[in-house]
Amino acid sequence: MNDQNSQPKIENSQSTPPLLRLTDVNTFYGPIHILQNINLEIYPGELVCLLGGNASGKSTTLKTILGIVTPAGGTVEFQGETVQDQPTSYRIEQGMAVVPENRRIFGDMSVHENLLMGAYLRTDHQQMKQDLERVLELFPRLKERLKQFGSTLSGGEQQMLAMARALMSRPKLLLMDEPSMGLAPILVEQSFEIIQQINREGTSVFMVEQNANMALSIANRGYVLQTGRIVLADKAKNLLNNEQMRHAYLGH
Amino acid sequence: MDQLPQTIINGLTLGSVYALIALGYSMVYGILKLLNFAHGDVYMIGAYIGYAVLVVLVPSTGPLLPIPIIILVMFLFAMVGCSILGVAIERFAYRPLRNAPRIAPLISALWVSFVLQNLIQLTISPRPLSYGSGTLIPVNSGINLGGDLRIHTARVLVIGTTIVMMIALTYFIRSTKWGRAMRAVAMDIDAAAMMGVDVNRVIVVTFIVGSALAGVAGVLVGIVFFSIQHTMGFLAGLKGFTASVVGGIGSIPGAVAGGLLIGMAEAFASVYISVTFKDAVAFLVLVIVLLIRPGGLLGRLLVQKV
Amino acid sequence: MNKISKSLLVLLLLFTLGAGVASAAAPVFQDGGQEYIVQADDWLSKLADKNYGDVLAWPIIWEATNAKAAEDDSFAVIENPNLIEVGQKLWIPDTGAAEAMMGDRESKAGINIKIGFMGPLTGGAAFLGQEQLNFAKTAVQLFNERTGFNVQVTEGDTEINPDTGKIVAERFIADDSVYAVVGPAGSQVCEATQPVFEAAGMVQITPSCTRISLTDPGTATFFRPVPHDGLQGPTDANYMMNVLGVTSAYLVDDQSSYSTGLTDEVEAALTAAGATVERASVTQQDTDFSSLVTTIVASNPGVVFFPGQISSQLGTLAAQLQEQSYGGTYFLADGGFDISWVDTAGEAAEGTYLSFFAPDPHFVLQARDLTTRYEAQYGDYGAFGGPSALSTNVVLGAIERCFNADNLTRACVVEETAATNLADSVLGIPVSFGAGNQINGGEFFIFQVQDGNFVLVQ
Repeated sequence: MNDQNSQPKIENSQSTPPLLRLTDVNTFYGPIHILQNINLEIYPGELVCLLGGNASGKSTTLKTILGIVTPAGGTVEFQGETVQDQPTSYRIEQGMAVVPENRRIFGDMSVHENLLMGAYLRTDHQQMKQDLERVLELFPRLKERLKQFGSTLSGGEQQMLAMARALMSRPKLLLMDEPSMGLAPILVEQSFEIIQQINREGTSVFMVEQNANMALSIANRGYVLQTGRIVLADKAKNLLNNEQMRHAYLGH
Repeated sequence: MDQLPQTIINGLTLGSVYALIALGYSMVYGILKLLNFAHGDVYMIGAYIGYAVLVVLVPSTGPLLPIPIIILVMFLFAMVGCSILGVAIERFAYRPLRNAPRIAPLISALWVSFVLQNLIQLTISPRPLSYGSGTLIPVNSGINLGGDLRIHTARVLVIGTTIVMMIALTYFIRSTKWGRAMRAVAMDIDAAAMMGVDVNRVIVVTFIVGSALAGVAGVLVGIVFFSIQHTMGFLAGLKGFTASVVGGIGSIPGAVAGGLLIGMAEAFASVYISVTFKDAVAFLVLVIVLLIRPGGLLGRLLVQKV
Repeated sequence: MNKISKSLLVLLLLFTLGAGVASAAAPVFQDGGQEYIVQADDWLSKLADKNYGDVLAWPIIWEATNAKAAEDDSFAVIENPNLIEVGQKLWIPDTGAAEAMMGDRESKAGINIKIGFMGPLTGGAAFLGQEQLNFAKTAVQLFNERTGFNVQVTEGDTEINPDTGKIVAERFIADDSVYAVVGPAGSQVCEATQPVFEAAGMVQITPSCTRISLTDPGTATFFRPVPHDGLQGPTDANYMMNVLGVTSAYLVDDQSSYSTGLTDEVEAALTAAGATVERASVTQQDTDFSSLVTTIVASNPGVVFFPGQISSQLGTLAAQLQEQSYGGTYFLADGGFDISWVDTAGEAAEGTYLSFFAPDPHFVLQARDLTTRYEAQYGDYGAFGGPSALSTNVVLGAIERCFNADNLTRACVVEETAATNLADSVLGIPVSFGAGNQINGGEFFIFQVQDGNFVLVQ
């Protein structure tokens, strides 16, 4: 079977160029072939999710986009520019931001300092102050705890801090790695509401999730990854109704 | 005569030097989880750079510049020279082994340590060199503290310089962008990278700062203890390392507290117990501190993330 | 040479007057030849070219003239072949005699003879070991030039570690061309290697191990051309009490075998004479003695005795004693005979006493050739090299005598070393061995630092 043709193509109804495009990306960890011919696009304003089970390559896809791992072949384009040879810092500077898996906030820094780390590459101090105000409005709990150490926050507050930190760089594309992991159901719902709100305010979101139901309920489109290959790609609505999908991932 | 005040002065002097060395150990360990055993030898090189400045600026005919300026120039050259050396060590001895097993950079560090020692032995001299401190700061100068007690000017210089360095470093770490980036990398290197921090540059800055402090310590020791030798880095490095462990390795205030504690322990053990056993007593303090607080005075036991 | 005090020079001149020229075994020598008086613009290679048509034959004239001079003092003694003076009487062997001598030199040069040198070549005492090694090499170089032998020095680093010392010893023993070993430093290393060389029947001659027990009872193969601590301790204690008139002392050792041994001796002698004695130990790695000084100043003893070997430590302790206004006397041993600690301590060194087993080569006329050559090749030096060169010369003499007797074996070298009888040496002292192969005589000298120089006071 030809790999190239095995990946389903998604119908592109949009005329604007994609914000992010992965073309035939292959990534290895040592001798292990993790990602195989990944093709994927995210258009401005979209909320796209990447679904898949454990070890399907979801996190590696995210790391490839961010430049933490370098693909052996294929191209990663961000805003039309080929970036697969650029370091992470460059991609962040160009407008990517990430909410990492397990949040990874800086426990020995205050909430305020964590937010400043989010704006690490920015030099427009006036704008940063305004963004800080805006982010704190979005997460009022953080405003109350501005001087506290990150490690003293509850799980839900840490999730908020991780999102707020990512927003501090004014990203064009927000990458989220398993935002629901380790959170109580009520907090998951809250997080997803905020993600939706961020997306509505104009930030494109690419979300890696195991919780397919939840993710598809807010996403525009979705990709399904299985052992390093994209096996399904469609509008979120269609995926929710896809027989194969329902059987394998949605638990219906 | 009451020995207490003099003992405190002795302990503060030693402790200041240990603290300056311990800082470099602690900063590098905090960021790379690497025991930079070449750090003691960077300190030794700092002392030799200071010596080179002395040879040029204080010929046998007398000092060419006012003494305080000469001392400043010594600091400056030692800081710059040691920073370059520290960066070179990181670049060529540690960075290629960044992803190797933990033991590999440790062996590399020991190698660098031997190379530096033998280099000085072969190119300069295996003999101890005199700092001629008497010319710089007369041995009988100092501040009278009443009675027989006098604090030598060189000791004032050591303690004062160390305090200034501590304040500057604290400001740098707490309140500057580079300092924040260093702390972020120390806490979570991947997360820092995801914020756009160029980790390699932060590591380089860490080596620059740590090595510059070691350079200052080297010059100070030459001035206050009168002479230097190519082997001086070994024991000083060991004490600095001990100080950083006692204080909580990776912790900046911990390194200072640890340095002062070891210095004081040595001074008090020498005077009140026995000079012969001062090192045994100093290391006993380390053991006791670690029994009570396994993470060190100001450190915390970090649960390694998997 | 700038720091030589006149009194010392005068003393050494007196000391060496009447002493003969080093009497190595006579070289192969035939009678035919002629006298020649040196003219302006003569030098040895030019004379060699004129007489034999070979500029490289100059050592023949050198060797033959010195040999003649031993019998007839109207001939010049040429110490430095690069320096001959107008009016000096030389002996120029005729061509037949010269050819025989050249042939003899060539055959000597073809023999593989090695001397092993062991000492601390790296680490904190490297300055000492390197200086000893380089002095041994220089002595061998001068010997080779004079005699035509091609003796090599093979070296081994002991790191002042007894176990490492044994390994080095075994390596030398395994090499059949090694006939004698100079070294090591550090009495504990000497102690460890002594039985190894005894078992192998090979000469070991130490320039700096001074612990008494090494030659009491001693072994047949262990030689010590320097005095031992048993002589130094009483000399020092006696001087402190009877000349300086002190009744209390603070003794500091550096935990080395040498230092503790000597301190024990001094302590015993002082205690026996009724003085109050306190004692402490430091390590050779210490760079700060301020707390020790705080303790010393509190008990205010008449003398502080520190037989350390690391010169920076001697300087630091001197300066720190002054820093805390100690008013008594500072007293050192052999390690103090090194001008570098005086530089370190500056004015704090003034008035310090020290005892030493040998003079500094800087001040010994008989060592001039050696020190000139050494300085040209290795730069300045301290006081540890002289005994090393002396030790080397002793075994080289034994090797030469064994060769001339056609019996170049390790056993013969042991015998001939024991039979050493030099009227003079590079240390300006006569050398012969007594019980336990300990040098006969062997005086300790007491010096005082005056105006930055060492001045002999006893």
